[in-house]
Amino acid sequence: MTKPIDSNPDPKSPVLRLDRLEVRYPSRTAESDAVVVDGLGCEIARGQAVGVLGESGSGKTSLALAVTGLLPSEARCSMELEILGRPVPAAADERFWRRLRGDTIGMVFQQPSLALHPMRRVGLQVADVLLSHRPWSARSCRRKVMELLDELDLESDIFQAFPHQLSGGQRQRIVLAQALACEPSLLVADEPTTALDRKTEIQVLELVRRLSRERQMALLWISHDPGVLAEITDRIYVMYAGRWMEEGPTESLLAEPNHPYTKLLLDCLPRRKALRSEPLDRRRLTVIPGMAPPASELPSGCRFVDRCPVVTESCGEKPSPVPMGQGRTWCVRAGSTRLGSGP
Amino acid sequence: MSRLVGRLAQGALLLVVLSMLVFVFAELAPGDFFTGAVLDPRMSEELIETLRLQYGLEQPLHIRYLRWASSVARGEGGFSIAYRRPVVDLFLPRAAHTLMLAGASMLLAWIIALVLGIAGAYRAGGWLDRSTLIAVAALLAIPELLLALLGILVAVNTRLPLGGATSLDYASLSLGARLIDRIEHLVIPVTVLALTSLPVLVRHVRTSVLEALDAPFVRAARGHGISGRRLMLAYVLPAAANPLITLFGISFGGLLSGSLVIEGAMGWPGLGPLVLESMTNQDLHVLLAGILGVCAFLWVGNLIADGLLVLIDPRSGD
Amino acid sequence: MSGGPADRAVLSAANISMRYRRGGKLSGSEQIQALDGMSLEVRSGEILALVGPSGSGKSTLARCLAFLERPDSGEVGFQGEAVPWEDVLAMRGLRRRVQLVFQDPARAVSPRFTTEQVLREPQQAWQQRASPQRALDWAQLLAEVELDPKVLPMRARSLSGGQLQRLVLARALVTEPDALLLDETFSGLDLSLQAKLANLVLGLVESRGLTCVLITHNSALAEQLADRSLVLSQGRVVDERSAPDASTGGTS
Repeated sequence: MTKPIDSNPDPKSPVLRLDRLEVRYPSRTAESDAVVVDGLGCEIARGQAVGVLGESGSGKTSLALAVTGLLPSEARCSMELEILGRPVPAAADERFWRRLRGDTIGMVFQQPSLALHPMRRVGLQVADVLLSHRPWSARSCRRKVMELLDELDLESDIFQAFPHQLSGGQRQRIVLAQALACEPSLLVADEPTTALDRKTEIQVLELVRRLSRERQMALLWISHDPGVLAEITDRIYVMYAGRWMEEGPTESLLAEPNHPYTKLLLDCLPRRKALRSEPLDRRRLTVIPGMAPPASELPSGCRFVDRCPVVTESCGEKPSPVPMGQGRTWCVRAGSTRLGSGP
Repeated sequence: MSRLVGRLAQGALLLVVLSMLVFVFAELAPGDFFTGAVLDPRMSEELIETLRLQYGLEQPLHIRYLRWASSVARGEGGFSIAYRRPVVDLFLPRAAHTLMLAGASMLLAWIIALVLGIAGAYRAGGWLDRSTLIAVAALLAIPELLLALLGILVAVNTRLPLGGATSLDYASLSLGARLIDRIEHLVIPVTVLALTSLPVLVRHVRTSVLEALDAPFVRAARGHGISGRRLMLAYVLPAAANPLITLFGISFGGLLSGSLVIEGAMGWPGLGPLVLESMTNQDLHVLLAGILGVCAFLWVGNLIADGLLVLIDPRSGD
Repeated sequence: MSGGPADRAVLSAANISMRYRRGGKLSGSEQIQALDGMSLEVRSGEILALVGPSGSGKSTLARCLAFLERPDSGEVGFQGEAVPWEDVLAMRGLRRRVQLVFQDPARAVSPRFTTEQVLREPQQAWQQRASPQRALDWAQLLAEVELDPKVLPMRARSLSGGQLQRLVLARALVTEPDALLLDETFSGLDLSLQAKLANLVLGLVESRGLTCVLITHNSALAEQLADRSLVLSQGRVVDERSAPDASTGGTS
């Protein structure tokens, strides 16, 4: 799928290089394991923002947890992972990951209201990250937190506030401050702005993009919302049922998707540009017929085969990536399909 | 501050209402202190009538209540007919012993429960956790009195003294020896009392810590690389503390009433035997003081718990 | 089905204000003006979108329009008449006719209830219908929200997010309401699920002749679905958008 792994750590090596990621959960009832992620690989260069577009159940959260070592203990995970050119050993334990997380890899979670301790001053919660990774005095940690708050357009007296006293946007910035405190090379974000309203969401996204440019920080941004990814990423991987469907530069992928799944997914977006008093059935949205296959009963070939409108006989085989423009598409019919994407 | 004053007034009202209820219930029960005396051949009926008049037992309920209330206001806390003495004089020396027993065992029980509960939850399913759970389940199955008997058995087989709070030659001992003597006398009753309340506490501590370890903000903190002692002290334990503080308040009252039974069984010179005795011979004012004492203890425990909650949880303040 | 402005208002709010106190007695409390003299009309048979950022008073308005909360001042009207807040029995009857659906279906049903129990709850509250038809009714109702009747004996916690959202919609329909209030029902959902649910709601509005109030911060979705949209900000209506050709009676 990708080039052989370069074993020489050098400053030009990508921030993250992932290959053959597989996450499965042993099942008590079904005979086969639930395969949540199946053979994924990707590379993120310094300062590059990569998005993963997928629906719930596609395995995108498992991907985020796998590259941060946060998968639950019952998950079986195998992968070849390099962070800044240094391979992560297969037997990496909590002690190994603990030093990586929050330092080299920053992590932003879903729902900032749940990610902050309700009984601890938010400034301290940011300082805790620094104290966990830097041999600094409390005073210099505090000074650094103040700088961070300023950088994230937060008032300095927020340091003393408790989470419940802050707005959703402010809380999300605090969570960002935690993730950015140790100036990580990679920021992993799993749907961090879903709970925010559109205006606040855009503000947060713009802030993250600015910071990632200033600091040459790589982003792995996971979302179900193409609008969010359009806002912040350079490149998008489309994920479905644990596999990549398509990847490519954000603009071209969203404008001219090559995989039938991507096309259908983007067609689900509301497309009326203004209110019109049309009959109700003309306002209907496009839907993808059927349901995603359960992780324990995946089809052997293309994962989208049961719902795909342009399926052929060769779709029963596992598709290999077909280069399309500056990206790749995991579809045997890539290049030859002509699926009308709704204007 | 105004909230505290409100709570205090509430508590006082509670005690007044409770005292009235006890008076009414005592009235509903047949007989009074001298009912048993009728059987005594040495007591003539005239004598008993005179005594009843002397102690005002012939008067209507509300007069008797007011007499008790004024006695409380004078600081006597009522009058014990059995001992012919103000209740305060009876209670104070015994209350000190009971508080010593209840306080020490509560301290012991909470320390053990916190250590075992937190350690068990931290390595849930480990050998310490599993053996703690088995021990706790066994302890829960043993009745209090049996525990007291086991305590007595231990005392018989060791050099530890039992019965009374001090040795007979206590007055002749030096200061250091007095201290050791007191502690030796405390060991068995305190251990037994602590063991009776331990199972509930251990289970609650363990559950609270387990829940806190699984809280989304604790997982998020781990995601930021916060771990070890900092994670435990600053994140897990504060989150686990909330339900435990409430339990602390309740255990306060429970321990005092629990100690009444254990005191009787182990010959500890506390309030227990006195209150139990007052119940059987209808020495109303003593009984009343005992009931109000337990109630006040429970109430104070809850007040302390609520205060602590306000202190540690910023959300309750504003 | 669709209508011009001549249609009478199913729901209306006249100059309603609502204020919350945040904070306790100890520290200085802070007043939050959730609704600040808001007026609006929901016309019969229309889909009205209420669009605005969080904190604009959308959810408070929804609770007022569902007769769940009485505003501090101003009047809420149903079919042209002011709502009699003091009359408990009449209010119970009114609440049946306007149903509110929340954002998070997992929090809106008890996880231990079976689907049937969830649906039976409102039915028992209003004691409608004769009992023998029950089983049939449920199947039909579930079909209306595109749920398999197999879910009837299943507990709510074993349903998927999409199934739960449909169940909550079905529960709202049990009392045969005139109007449906959807409070961020489509927010935070996957695109394909959002599209399916939106189509489902469109279908219900059409087949049952419902009036629908769609509360959302997603203005694209509002434009896709609604006849008219009101933009809210800080407890007031700051903008009204309607189809330019609405006054001519609609085209197709």
